Amino acid sequence: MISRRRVLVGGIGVVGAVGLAGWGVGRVGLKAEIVALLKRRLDFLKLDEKGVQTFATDKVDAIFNKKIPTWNRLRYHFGAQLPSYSRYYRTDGLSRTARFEEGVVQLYLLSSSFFINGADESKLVEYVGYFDPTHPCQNPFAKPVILPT
Amino acid sequence: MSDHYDVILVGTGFASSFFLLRYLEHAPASCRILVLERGNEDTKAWQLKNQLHTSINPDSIVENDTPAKEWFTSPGFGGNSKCWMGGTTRMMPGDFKLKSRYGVGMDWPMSYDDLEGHYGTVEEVMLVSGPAVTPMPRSRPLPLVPHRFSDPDVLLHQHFPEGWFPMSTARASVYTGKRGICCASGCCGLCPIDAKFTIQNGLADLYKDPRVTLKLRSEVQTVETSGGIATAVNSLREHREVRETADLIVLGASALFNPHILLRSGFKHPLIGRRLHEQMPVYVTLDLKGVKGYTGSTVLSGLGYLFYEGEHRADHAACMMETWSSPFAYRAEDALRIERGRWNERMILGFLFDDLPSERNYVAVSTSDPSRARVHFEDYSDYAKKAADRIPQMIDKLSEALPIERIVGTSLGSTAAHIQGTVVMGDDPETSVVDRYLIHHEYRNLLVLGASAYPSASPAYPTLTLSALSLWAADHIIGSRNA
Repeated sequence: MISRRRVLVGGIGVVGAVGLAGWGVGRVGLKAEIVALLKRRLDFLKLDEKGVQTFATDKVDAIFNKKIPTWNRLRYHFGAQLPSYSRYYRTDGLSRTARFEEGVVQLYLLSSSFFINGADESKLVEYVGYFDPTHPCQNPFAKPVILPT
Repeated sequence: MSDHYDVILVGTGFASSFFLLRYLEHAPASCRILVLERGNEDTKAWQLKNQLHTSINPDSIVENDTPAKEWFTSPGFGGNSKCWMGGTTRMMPGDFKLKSRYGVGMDWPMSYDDLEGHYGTVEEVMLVSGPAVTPMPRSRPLPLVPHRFSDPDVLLHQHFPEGWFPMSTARASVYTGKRGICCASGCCGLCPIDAKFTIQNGLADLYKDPRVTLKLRSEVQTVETSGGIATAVNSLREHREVRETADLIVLGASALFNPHILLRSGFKHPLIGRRLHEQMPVYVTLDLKGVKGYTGSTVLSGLGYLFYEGEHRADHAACMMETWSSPFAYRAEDALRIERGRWNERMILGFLFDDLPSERNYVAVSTSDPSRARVHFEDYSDYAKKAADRIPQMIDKLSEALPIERIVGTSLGSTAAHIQGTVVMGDDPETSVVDRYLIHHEYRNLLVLGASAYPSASPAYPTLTLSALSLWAADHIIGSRNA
């Protein structure tokens, strides 16, 4: 006869295994989604395949490595907001999915050589490094101050 | 050596440092000044290594009842200068006379003209960059040449020459000898190239003066009073309670912690901690036809005064507009336009509205942990919201100059990163805590510096004004002593 302890331990093991598998499948699936999304939305550019894969891995890591929000942050997300917030919040009607997609494409372009090469569509777009605005000199559009002559 | 000083100064941010700057110019060699700073040194190298501007978690010292409304604070040497963005606009003359000109809010107990010279001094110390012509009168030019406009700014300036100006900012436009040129990346909270003025890169030498003793990791708990004067400061230093006395006690611990210290000390004025306020910030993303955004040479490149001064202030708030020329750090979700060849035909505008301070927004002492300041913010005033409701009409006006295709999004910012009110100044002790020279009405050797003294908001960034107020207060103290 199987003891209650064995059932319990076995149950925890199964739940853990399913959780780990789900976590792994989620990561792999999300990475594949990101790669497909970039290829679809940027089909007019020559993308460096290895770089796209690396970017997708980095993006998935960034999503999964997010810190668990503090209690205050959770309160914010669950509606402890100022009365004024909804009053002034408007978007152009994009769904959450569409906004996520736009964000990923934007992040990839900023992380790549595309703007460094002057948005030249004829050049191969290579992944340079995961975009981090807290590093200096990351604004590809800024022009220098012109001193009076 | 005794624990008695001529002056005890609390805090090492803008308010304290500009007071110290002027005070030391006139203090005798025998003068002893103790400076108490709650945080650590947090050098630039430490900040960059740790990607943080303070080694003290702000959440550990501030209990925020309404986390949707953020209040930034950066304990440590240099205070909030470590994390500020470097906006240095002056207030407009009308901001000082809101009640007498427009019948709303409170007047300041001094005029723009009273502070004009001090504004100029602060601009020179900070090496502010900006235009030769500004919307408010000035007696001397800004020290550094202005930053470059973004392309949308150019169009706005051409169409509204009296209403659109290059940014006034302490983010350097040319190499200053110590500070590099702003790279417009929008990582101002850490500024890895030290382009913005901070106390650490601009006024740190004050704290090496032989007359000054700086004690870090000193959490001021209370100010003692006796016989109608402030006599001592009690602090917790390295887990040890310390009591130090002085002839003059100066609080410059921010609009969160000035009232916190006074309340912990048992000061009773009903306005201490009340009237917490800042500007109401609303951000609008616009798509433009054929005009490239983000092309300025600094993170915020343009300032709009079209809806600032005027009779409308009797009915709804004034507005200062700012062009975001680097959206990536703060507005990353809709920075670019994902359309082939039109990636940056987009601009982000900030609309800052002055809020009418209300007593329902306040700072108190946390009941669970008295070392923390509890912040409670219910909402902005109807006066500010009424003005924000007019954003569509404002954008219509801007469309006279800009080829606006559509409004992509609008959102209320969680913070303008300014903290004001809470120890209000005025001439009447019934309606104010400190007088026009930031001296406590009852305890005449106690000063409370900084934006905590602001009786009303202004759409302008507060740092230049609070720094000028510190010079003004120091001048008065020096003048009184000499007299």
